[in-house]
Amino acid sequence: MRLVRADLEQFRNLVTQTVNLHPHYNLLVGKNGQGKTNFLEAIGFLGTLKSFRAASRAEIIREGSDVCRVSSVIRGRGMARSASFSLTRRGRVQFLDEKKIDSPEEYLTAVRVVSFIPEDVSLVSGPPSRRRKIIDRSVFEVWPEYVRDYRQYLRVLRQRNALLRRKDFMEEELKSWNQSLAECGATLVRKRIMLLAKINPIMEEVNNTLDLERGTHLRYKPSFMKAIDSPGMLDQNSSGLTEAILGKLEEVQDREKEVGHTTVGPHRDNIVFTACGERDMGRYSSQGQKRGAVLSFKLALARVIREARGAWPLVLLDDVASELDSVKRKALGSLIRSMDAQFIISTTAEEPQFLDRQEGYVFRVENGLLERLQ
Amino acid sequence: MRYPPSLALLIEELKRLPGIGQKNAQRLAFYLLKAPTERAEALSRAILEMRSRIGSCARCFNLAEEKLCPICQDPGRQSSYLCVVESPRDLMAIESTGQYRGRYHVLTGVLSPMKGIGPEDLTIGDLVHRVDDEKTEEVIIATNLDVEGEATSSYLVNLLKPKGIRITRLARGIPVGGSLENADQVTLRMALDGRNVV
Ligand SMILES: [Zn+2]
Repeated sequence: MRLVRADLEQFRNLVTQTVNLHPHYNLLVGKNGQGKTNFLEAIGFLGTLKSFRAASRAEIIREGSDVCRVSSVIRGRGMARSASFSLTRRGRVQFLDEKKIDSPEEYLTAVRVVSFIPEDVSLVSGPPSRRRKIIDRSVFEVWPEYVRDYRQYLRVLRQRNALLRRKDFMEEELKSWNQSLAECGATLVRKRIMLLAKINPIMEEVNNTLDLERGTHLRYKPSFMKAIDSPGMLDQNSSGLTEAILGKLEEVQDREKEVGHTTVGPHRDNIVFTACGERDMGRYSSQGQKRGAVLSFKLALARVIREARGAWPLVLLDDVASELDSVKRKALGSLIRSMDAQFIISTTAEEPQFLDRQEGYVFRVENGLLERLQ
Repeated sequence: MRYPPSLALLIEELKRLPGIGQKNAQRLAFYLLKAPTERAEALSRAILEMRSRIGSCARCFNLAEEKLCPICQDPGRQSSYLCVVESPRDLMAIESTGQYRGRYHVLTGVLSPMKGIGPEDLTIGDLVHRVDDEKTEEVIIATNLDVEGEATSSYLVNLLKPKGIRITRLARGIPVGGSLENADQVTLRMALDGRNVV
């Protein structure tokens, strides 16, 4: 996917303007607070319908206006189409080819963006729910039908919790909800692990290229068993996983009746950034190492999406070079060159050292205006 | 402007019907106001008559105007097959395929703890008695393939399995999470043909 053009209206401090982008490399340079990250956020919103800074609509709409709009021309598989969204304080509407799209999923499969921002470092040490969320989003990017599996699981979970809260039910009834929860849960777990199996080898490669901490990978820590080591558990109908979840549900059943909710299953599983020697990076690694781990995860994800969907997602990198020394910057530059994706990269340094100006477009960002340097 | 009270009352009642909003309710009310008296009388009679006549079949809980529904009364139906559905509407959907010659049992709902519906709120006890009394050889579970339909199905499987009869489940063709009512006839026929033993 290539973003050919973006039209911005009333998005934060960004001046109403049209930005034409280079099909590969786009560098945003400028001082902090001028609008570099805001521009990335606008493009990220275009691809995910969410702010990567978890900002509310009211924060995004420029002060004094009622509506903010970002429209774009994208090109994929030789076809140009338009994608856009508009925000008011009351809600959000998205369009593909000028047609209003009610289902966010339909919109999201048309526009794919992977972003990295400095704040993402908290993903490593933050609560498991944040990592589950990003892994679930990533599974959806790779296998869009996952959204249906996910909704089914949530529905079973809510039903089972409702039953546990009622307390006066028959064992047999709980048993049938256990069965449903285990089956739907196994599907989720299996797909998440299949994603990790695709991501991990690529993360390893990225780590080696960027000379980051060795052995960094994502490890699945299920809530219903110690570890999922045997590949036999991941067979087509996930019967092994279903059995494991079912067994654990029966084991904790009495306790769950007391607390009134489901305590095991994919909604309680953890995905851990792990370094060499099975070390949990959230607890033992430096900020720099965590940053590197998230960066290599995001770059690996972009490649996995490329392999699964046949087209690169747009890659947004915010302030990616600031903590890298010159050797690592060079390495990042060659890594980016080896990927045929479109990049938008922000940096505070005038000469970012990892891409030459001739290779793409350089924009100076000042007071919310992007100006292309010749 | 205000409607005369009796007209306003009718509009209010019509608005309670599914799919009817203010605009449609007004249109219908004015139509009934202007239509010949016989039309309005026929409609109100039809509603009352339907309500007083239709009850549920004493055996299978399908809609019935007599003690038993037409399917239960039909001697040509094979009693050895029992197809379990959620509602009379799902029963109609399967009947419309013309493929099935056995009998039915309507559960009158599905398990849903969120709505406070448990096995005792459904006709599951009657189903168990029927399987014993009618010497059923195969129970075809045709609950919808959504979360509640699946949980109800696995409840029934656990309950009926010890009886040593054949238990099958509608499968192929109907999209996961899908409902019988919305499936087309060909799909439903395939689902009926390709049912799986559970
Ligand atoms: Zn009947």
